[in-house]
Amino acid sequence: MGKVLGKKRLYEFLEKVSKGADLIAPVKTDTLRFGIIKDFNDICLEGRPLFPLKKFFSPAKQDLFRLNLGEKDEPFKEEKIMIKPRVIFGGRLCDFNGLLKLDKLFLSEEFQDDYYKEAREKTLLIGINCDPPPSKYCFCESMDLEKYYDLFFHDMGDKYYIESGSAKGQALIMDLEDYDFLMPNIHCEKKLVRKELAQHYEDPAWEQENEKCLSCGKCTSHCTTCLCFDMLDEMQANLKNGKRSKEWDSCQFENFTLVAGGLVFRKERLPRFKHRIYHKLQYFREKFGMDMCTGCGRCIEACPRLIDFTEVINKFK
Amino acid sequence: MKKTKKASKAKKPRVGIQSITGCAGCQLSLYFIEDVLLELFDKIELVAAPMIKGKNEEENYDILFVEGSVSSKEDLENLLKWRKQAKFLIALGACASHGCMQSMKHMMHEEEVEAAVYNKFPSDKRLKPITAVPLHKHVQVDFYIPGCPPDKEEIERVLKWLLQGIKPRVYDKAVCHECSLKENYCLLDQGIECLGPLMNGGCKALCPDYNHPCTGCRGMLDDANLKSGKEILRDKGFDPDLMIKRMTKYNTLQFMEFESKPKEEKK
Ligand code: SF4
Ligand code: SF4
Ligand code: SF4
Ligand code: SF4
Ligand code: SF4
Repeated sequence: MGKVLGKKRLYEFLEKVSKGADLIAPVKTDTLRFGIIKDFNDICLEGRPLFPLKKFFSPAKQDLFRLNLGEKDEPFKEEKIMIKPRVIFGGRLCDFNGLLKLDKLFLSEEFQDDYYKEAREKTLLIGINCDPPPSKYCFCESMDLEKYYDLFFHDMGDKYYIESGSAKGQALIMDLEDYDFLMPNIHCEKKLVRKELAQHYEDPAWEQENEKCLSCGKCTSHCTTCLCFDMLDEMQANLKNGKRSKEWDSCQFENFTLVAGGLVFRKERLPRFKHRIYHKLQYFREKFGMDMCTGCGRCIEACPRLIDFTEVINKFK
Repeated sequence: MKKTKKASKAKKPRVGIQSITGCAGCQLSLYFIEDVLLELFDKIELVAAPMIKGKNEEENYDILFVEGSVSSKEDLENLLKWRKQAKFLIALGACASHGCMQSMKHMMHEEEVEAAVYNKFPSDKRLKPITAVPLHKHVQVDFYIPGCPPDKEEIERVLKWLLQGIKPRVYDKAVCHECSLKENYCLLDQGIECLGPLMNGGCKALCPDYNHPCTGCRGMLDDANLKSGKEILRDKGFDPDLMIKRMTKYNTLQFMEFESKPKEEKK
């Protein structure tokens, strides 16, 4: 059983829960993007932003540390992490499941990314249910998503039905009126027929789609869960002080696998093309017991050729 | 170019900037690094830079930037001469790297183009151009800084790397990448014929950032999928002739090379 909130009281509620924090929600200007809300009226829950939430947890470009080569005591100085608490409102189930997957990588036992960790700890997740799915490319129903959020809203016309998924979330809706309702599951038109990918590496269906691929990397930059990055060192003109920064990268680029000595071990387009999908649906699963894909459909919608890997897989002999 | 203090004190690297046929805008981009120009020039010996120096040396360059494409006999003679004198030769800008506009002639009738430009002059006053090609068609090029004009920050970065003794790195990701990182509303989705997915980035997606379609001033990707690129534009209903013009604006030679490849890479 959950709670209920009249739509007229939404802004008042958001104001309360985001006190002292940045409120992040989808905003429509020329297109829809997640952004920091200055005016509640800017929030737009029609559709889902093509650009994912990951930038709030690991920015597209980020300085990591300063280099001061002259100084013996402190030649490296880490950039201070300064993250304001924030509340994300209007994320979808796929968006938050994306974080669940990224947690496996960036908050694992052997390795923790300080920035990601702090950003996660300081963010409250308030989602909205997809009824109907906001894009014809959505296929999350095939992807076993978990109920992963602090709060989850369901639009009931003049009011929202709200469920909590954490103690933090529960505390925020204590005062609201109880409501008896069963949150409907998401139903997507697009389906992925699950198959054992390892047995289909040589299937001709790969080749057909690969011919269309431009290796432009839009599928990975728009992906809810891709966070591969590249590193760059740059000095100032004095050649003593400088910085190391990182920037998102993509396995779709020709030289992504360039290693010392000049070898590029995934040079051809086809193995690169397959790698993305194998990483999402096989390699990640082998390691963490779940897919790295949330079925958000962003990679399809962002692709200049609308390349759709679910169709490739569904076509396998 | 040694990193040790002694060496750098003893001898600063001899750097030159020379130009053949182009608009000289590339060279100008270098001088636009105003904030740090003097500090950087302090670390080098600028032995040739005809745009800003009266006395210019013609030999023994540690690093030589060459802008422009090889478009006349004199261009070729100069380039061959400089190459022999340069330890590390950098092609600066679109003309030097890919041939740029003047190489459009490769897909036209030479006499026709010449007539259009030179017919108004008496025959003894006409230039005798050769069909323009980028530097690497005649000499070995050690590094490319493409772009029309090249990005001044990239010029600075490459120079600093070289001064540190670090092998410079090319930016070889599609324009779409930086464009997506900036969360630009894709021009293709707005019905504008952007060539970003075929083109080499590193420009921070400057044109699409201002809603202007990319025409590839930094050259085509090494593995540009031209066939698929044409299919996007066809599917979206863009004029095929206009598209060929756009694709060949800076990159006629690359375009022709891709077109003559029998089929897209296999395996
Ligand atoms: S977005 Fe499409 S064309 Fe671009 S790399 Fe991905 S699959 Fe290939
Ligand atoms: S692979 Fe595609 S569908 Fe899956 S999470 Fe990434 S963008 Fe979404
Ligand atoms: S699909 Fe490619 S870019 Fe995305 S996480 Fe995997 S290796 Fe990285
Ligand atoms: S993939 Fe599912 S959760 Fe994500 S937006 Fe589409 S319907 Fe909603
Ligand atoms: S606007 Fe152009 S460069 Fe940007 S993502 Fe779209 S096609 Fe690529």
